[in-house]
Amino acid sequence: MNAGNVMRRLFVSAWMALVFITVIWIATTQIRSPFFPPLPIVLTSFSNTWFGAGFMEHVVPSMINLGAGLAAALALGLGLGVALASFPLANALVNPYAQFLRALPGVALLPLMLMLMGTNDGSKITLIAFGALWPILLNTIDGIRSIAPEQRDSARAYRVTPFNVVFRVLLPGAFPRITVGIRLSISIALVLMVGSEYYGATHGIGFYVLQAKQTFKTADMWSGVLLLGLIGYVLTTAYSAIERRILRWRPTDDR
Amino acid sequence: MSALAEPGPEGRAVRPAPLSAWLRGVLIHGAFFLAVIGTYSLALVLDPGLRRFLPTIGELLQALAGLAVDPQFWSGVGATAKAAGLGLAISMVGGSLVALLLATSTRVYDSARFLIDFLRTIPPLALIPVGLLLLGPTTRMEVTLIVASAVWPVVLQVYYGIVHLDPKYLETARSYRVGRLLQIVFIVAPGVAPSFGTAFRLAASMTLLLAVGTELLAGSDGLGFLIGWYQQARRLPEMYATIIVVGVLGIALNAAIRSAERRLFAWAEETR
Repeated sequence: MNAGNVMRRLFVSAWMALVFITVIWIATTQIRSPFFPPLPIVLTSFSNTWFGAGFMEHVVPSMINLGAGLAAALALGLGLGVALASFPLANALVNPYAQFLRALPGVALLPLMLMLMGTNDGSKITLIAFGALWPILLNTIDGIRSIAPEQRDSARAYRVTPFNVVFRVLLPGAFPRITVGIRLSISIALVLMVGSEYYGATHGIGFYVLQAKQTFKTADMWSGVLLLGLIGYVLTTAYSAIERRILRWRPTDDR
Repeated sequence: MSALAEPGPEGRAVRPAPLSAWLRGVLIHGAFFLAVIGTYSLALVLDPGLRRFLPTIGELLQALAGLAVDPQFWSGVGATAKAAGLGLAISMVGGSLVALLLATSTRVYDSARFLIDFLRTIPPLALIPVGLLLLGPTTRMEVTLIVASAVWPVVLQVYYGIVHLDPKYLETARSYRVGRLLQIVFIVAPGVAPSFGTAFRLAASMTLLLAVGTELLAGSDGLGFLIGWYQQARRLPEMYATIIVVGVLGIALNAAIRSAERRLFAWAEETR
């Protein structure tokens, strides 16, 4: 591909976003509404807050909660998933409850978590982990159960050790499904991260946004929303890239 | 070791299970359910301190019965259903229109992709303060927030459905000079219908999440609001009962849409 082609493709993928930003820029500087402060002011607030004190005070705690919750959900989901997939009866018994908890919107549990564990980060991490657990767990079970029985049988025939069965046969075989579960879990974890920061919190990006709204610092509010949008975009895009890389060995047509 | 030879999900449902197997399943699940309830009740008896956070089964049943005749609860159900239904309908129609527009040419899709990817990855609920500021804790705000999040899965699913239509059908229709309208009705619409079903299911679960979340966090009327309110009023059995109702709504909605998908689109090669 030559340089001209690259430029053209870049232009095609970027022009609409650029037009969108320009329109917002002009509109917000023209209408002078207190709700929609001029874009340059929002951007100034963005760099002042998020490249300044706000980073340590709000972004880091948010990201730690998100990361810890997701890590706990991943460890629990994979572990429980392997265990349940190996015992069909246990799986059949637990499945309805797992389906119920997956269908339950995690935010509905916010008051409960507040009551049980208070407003600390532990309660937020628990809620994030709880919400993010179910897609990983259920997809791990489905993934393992969809592995061709011959593969397990041959592993057994060669007396592959249980450790190797789990890490070389079951988890890799289930991986295409597991990645789907992780993708869902990431978006759920993001929702719960933001939601938990709106409900009885003292720090975090969500808390900052809500606080800015309550004190009518609309530029600060929009800068927080912008940051949340960027975090969502970066996480989703980065995960898609990782997923493509990990699943490179699969034939592309059934992805 | 027969556990390992268990057939995968594809292996099931080849023939309907006989009645005795069905009965056995009901018995086993019923016994397990009773065991769960028994363990829970025993734990509450052994450690009465837990009762500060957890209702007994009796209290829970009483709360559920109380809610069933409580007009305030039903008006909450109505408010949630109204906002969710409106939001879902707007998301489906709007999302499909956007998808149609995107599918007119790959140029359009390539141009809009970055913007759409950015907008759809904004975490739902992030816009609650904005919605509150602009519209206040109203149904209109709730519907707006629902649409802002639930419209994206519809856009993507319907778009992929249109793009992955087999061009052979359209080419055949064209060579027989079938009119544009007939092409849309008999080829495009049925071809896209399964994706539309998937879009509906994804958007519906997103909608319930957004509705309950907005009601709880922004204080618009509905079941989410009631959950927070019962907690603050220390009416814990009612809080738990409402959470259970929300979960049952979620799973019933999902199951209903899935079974409708299976029935309607059994002819499609795979139900996603």
